[in-house]
Amino acid sequence: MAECIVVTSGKGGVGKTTTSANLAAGLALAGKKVACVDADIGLRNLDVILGLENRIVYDLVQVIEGECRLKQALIRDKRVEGLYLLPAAQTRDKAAVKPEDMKRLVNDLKEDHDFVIIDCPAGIEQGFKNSIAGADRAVIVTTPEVSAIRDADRIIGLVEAHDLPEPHLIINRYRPHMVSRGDMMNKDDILEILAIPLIGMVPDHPDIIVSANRGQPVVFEERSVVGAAYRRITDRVMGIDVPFPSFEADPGLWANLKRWMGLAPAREAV
Amino acid sequence: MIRLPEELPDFESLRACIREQMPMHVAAIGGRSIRLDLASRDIVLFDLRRVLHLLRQEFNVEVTGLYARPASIHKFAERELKLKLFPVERSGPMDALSDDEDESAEAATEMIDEISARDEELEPADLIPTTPLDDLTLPTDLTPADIDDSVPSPAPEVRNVPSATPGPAPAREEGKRTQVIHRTLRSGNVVRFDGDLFVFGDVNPGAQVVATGNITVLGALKGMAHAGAAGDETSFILAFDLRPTQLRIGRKIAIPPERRSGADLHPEIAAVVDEQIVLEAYQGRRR
Repeated sequence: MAECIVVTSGKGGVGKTTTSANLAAGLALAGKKVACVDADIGLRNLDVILGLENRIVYDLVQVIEGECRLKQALIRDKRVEGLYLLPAAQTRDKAAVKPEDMKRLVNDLKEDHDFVIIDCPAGIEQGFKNSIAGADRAVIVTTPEVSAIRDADRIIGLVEAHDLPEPHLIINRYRPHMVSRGDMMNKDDILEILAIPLIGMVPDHPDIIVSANRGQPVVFEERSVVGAAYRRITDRVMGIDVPFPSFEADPGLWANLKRWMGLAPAREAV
Repeated sequence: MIRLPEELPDFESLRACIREQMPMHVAAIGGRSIRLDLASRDIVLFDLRRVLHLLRQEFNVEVTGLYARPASIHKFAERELKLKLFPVERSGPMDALSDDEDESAEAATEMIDEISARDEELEPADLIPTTPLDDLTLPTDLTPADIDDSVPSPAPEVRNVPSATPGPAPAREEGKRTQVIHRTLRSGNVVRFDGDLFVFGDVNPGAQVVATGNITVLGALKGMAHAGAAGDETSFILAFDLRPTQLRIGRKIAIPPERRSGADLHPEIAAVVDEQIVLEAYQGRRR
């Protein structure tokens, strides 16, 4: 039974596109057939993050307006079996698509994919409404910042008002050393406010920037801490119960984290 | 000829007015083509479209042309509505228009809205009588899988590129129009032109330049360029710095190899050679 997951946040710049790309690539690595849809019409990015920008011929708006068939617009990722991208149009805007169109599109995609991942644009307007229309469940991305959490809270309310099941939370850009100093909100503070199940924590790490610049999702990187974090998220999305690593008990992982942080007190709990 | 009151508060009253007056004239102009005179009035594109729809659906009258002050009608109307625009400078009430077609006059209120923020396309029209590029859709049998991303890198010597030989695709006639663009095109900008296109500036990633003829970029071409968009594969794409995300000539699509910026900068030209898009150094003597 295919499932459509929308990745949303309310606030911009918290990592929706990166999360979408890595979640989609991770699911494909796990052997699923995945279509990821860039719903950010007019400000498309997912194609760049996935490194597929130069292969775009047709886009989502052209599919919806009947200029081409859905199959033609889907770009197959050559690095991993089963990963497809439906790019957004760059020369149009959100008003070019209506929620009913998205619903129809998602239903078509669900026919021959196991997962449909929708990369939602920032905001709560048309783009958000389009993205949420065909979704079966939502994943909320936030960073440990008051403003991002405020927006996430608002989005959770909107998602629930759309009769979707309780959304899941990913905390992005987590910096354990700042948390241990008390300079950053910790996981429990965030969960206390948002009160939805946590399915992933992604540390702030240069690997993300490098992978974005290369157009190679970090989830492909076997040795990256962030890649591992995304692989765990992928598993949890598929319903596999993966324990949250106790970073303290895993010196290997910590060593990695410390290397980029320069130094880190050993007592941080994530 | 039908006259409508100059001041109408909204579209509803305009529609009511048309419905009231049209039946008397349907016998004369029903099933025929008419032109519409907007006189001095402004009409938003959306309402204009509704007027055309109303005339077509209820009275079987096809509007083929529009008289309007150049400023009063949205610049995309010509292409969007597939109408011919006749600029009218005078701003008094319209005179009787005698043409080979019958005519009728409509008017509407409301302010003109510049939707340009909504539709980011740069329309090079205004000065040049541009005909709408209706045939500018890509063939439907292209799929990204067909893309050949093994385009040969610049060939060491200049190859002979076939000159305009009439193939299956219509070859361009001599004396085609040229559009010159004096700015850098940024992500999301699209320029379409029926003829040759010159860009004095860069074409950034995410921008598109589409022309039925040749495309010359006097700057860096990093976005998408589609030359010979109506099917003429003798067209070429030339740029001072040719590093596009994608190139299309006629029905061919190519993804040039990734290149570092600034490395060995020289003008290059892309053309179809042996059914394949080929890049080569431009040395100023292409024949």
